[in-house]
Amino acid sequence: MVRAALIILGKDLRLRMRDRSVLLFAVVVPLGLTALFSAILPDDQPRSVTAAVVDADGGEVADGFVDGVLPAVAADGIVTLVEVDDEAEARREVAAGDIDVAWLIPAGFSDEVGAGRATEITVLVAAGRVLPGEIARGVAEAYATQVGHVGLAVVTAAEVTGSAPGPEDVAAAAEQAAATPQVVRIAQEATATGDRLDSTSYLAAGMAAFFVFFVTQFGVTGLLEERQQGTMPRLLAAPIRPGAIHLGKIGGAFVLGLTSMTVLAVASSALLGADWGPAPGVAVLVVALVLAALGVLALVASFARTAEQAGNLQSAIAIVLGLLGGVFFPVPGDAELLRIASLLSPHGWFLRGLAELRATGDWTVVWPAAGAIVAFGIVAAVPAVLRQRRASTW
Amino acid sequence: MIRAWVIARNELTRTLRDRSNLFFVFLLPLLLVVFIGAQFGGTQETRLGVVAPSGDPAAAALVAELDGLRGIAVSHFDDAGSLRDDLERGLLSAGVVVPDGYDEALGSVAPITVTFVGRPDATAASLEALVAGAVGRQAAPGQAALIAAADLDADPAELRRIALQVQDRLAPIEVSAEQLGSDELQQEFAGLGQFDLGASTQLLLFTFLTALFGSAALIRTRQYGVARRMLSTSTPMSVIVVGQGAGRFLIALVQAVYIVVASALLFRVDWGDPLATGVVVLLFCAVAAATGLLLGSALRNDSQASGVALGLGLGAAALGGSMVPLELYPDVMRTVARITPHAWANQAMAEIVRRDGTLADVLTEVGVLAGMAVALLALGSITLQRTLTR
Repeated sequence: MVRAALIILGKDLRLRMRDRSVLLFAVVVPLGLTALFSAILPDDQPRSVTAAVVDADGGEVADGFVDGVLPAVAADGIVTLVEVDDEAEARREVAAGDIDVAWLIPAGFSDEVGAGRATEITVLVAAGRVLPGEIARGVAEAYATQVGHVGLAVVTAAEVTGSAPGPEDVAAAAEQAAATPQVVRIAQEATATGDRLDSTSYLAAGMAAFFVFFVTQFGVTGLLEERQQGTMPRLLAAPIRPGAIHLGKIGGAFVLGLTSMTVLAVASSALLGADWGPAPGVAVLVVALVLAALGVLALVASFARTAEQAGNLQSAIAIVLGLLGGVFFPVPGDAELLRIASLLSPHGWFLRGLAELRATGDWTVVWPAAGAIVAFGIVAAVPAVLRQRRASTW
Repeated sequence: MIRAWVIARNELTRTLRDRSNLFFVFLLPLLLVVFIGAQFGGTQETRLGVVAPSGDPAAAALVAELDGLRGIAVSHFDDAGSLRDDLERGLLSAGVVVPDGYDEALGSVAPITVTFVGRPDATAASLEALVAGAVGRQAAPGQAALIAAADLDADPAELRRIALQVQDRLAPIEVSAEQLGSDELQQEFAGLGQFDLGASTQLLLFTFLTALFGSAALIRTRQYGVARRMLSTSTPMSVIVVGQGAGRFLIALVQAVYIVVASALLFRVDWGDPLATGVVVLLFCAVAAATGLLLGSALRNDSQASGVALGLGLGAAALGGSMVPLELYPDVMRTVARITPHAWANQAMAEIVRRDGTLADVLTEVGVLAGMAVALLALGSITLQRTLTR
């Protein structure tokens, strides 16, 4: 039985390879679309904020910000500082979007702070740079708070002692402030993992998952084709068990699906710089997805009478499942309904599994996702087999 | 010419009779319009995970302040473990763990530690600066009290109460933000309804894709010998070629008109000036039909044709701005995109729908589309004539 199945498998594979259309679906189109998309889509990697500061004051309090806070913030990689000559230039560059943000410290800033009078730091934000704007404001506010501590300490002490505060009190408090530990300390804890799937890897994997549902179609439609062309009765008349015919057909599609996804994983990594994550995890997910594709396609085909009809139906289902799973557009984080919908698609689970795999770097995390994907295949395959049995007894 | 019309009508009937085609021609485009509409306006916010003790007013105030920051969405977690899990799986950008007794520690000026969990990258460092700022503002009276307490030998908690009373007397350093320049993207899409963008881009994607898939039907016409039988009648070659071309055009047009009408009725999509939209859609359908004709005559078998149709149909749509708006492209790609009819048609539809343009405003685009249609039709008819007589 296995020998017969292998012969059918080999014949099917040769047939498909000679008709070069399978190469289009399996390699050329998915790889081309991935390359195209990654050229079009803007790079979504986080980058540091480009910022400039214009110090029209030059006093001590302003220095604390310009020479104390900003270099530290730049050293953390939060901002990249850019030199500008004056406010006019800063305004021009921010308005043009060449730099994200700029801080303006007005003349007389240090004196006003020393005298306890109101003053302000203005943050110029380029339109559309929401998060950089918040960060620049946060940095300025953190410094304002820090300066405020000193003033508040002096006023509080004066309230307790009943004496009017003088400049020397401010100087002493400022010195004391530097020596006082923070009441609320922020402890940093870094996670070793948590890398996000970059857009090229996401697209490459999404396209591969999408097209594997087209590549494996023939494994299921092949039976209908043989029936249509009249070769099925001849196969059945031969001393081969019907199971061997099915096994050969499905096996051929399975091999082709695996090959397609493997080639795409390797080629997208080598040519486009994609990274699918640790190989064992990718392998588990790929095998699961090919199995799911076969199951789902078999069920769909059992509703069709001709190979062409089956092909059309299968394409329709493959497109809907792919869309739900987010192979073309990543499902946005705030669309709760779409997020839930993506769980109804093997493609969605595949991409989620890959994301977790890349984030943790541990290949064993893929089991739940792989299980969910295979479950799709099994749930679809059982009714497909039952319907097929009924059909082949006629 | 009646015979050409009969051929064209037969092509249309054949396409519509196949029930699975109904899905691709009528159902899928609308499905995608809904799908894109659901995503429209959804912002990509940076997700910050938070673990806060329940019933702690200061912790609640901190979370509310973080949640109020623009561009940041706060997700709540019950414990630090599950927060770390999500962070490690890449579902969050960073996390903050506020300890139990936070409010009490602030009140009694007792040292306490807030934990910030993040990856070692610039995003996490930026978020940490924001968290530190928010925490610093909450801790300000206590911090001042601690500074004052060093000289006064007084209870910091008592001093903090005084600090809270007197802090209004101080003029703080205000931080004000000023937005400069204009957010072109935001302006570009400002006048659009939720489904407007999806409707016009998907119209182009699908009429083109359907017309290309029509090439497989054309190949079957040849394979089954229908073309040869037509040629053996008194029908001249030119009539058959015109009929085939018109058939592909008719199918594209039926789909386009359907998408316009259905999306206008179901989703209240605004299609702008009817004359301008009509001309652009007609010309685009002609380009699509001509490309289908060319493929159908140049390729040998129908499974090859479906492969090329799918690749070319999706590829041209992607490049031409029917999947990602052209406005988001890097400059180089925007120029490259102009080889596709989609890019010109999308540009025209943007002018018509977003800026209430009329035919006069889109003359360039209309001219280019007309040129493409004529060139491709000529090429397609010549190739078809040659294949039919082969």
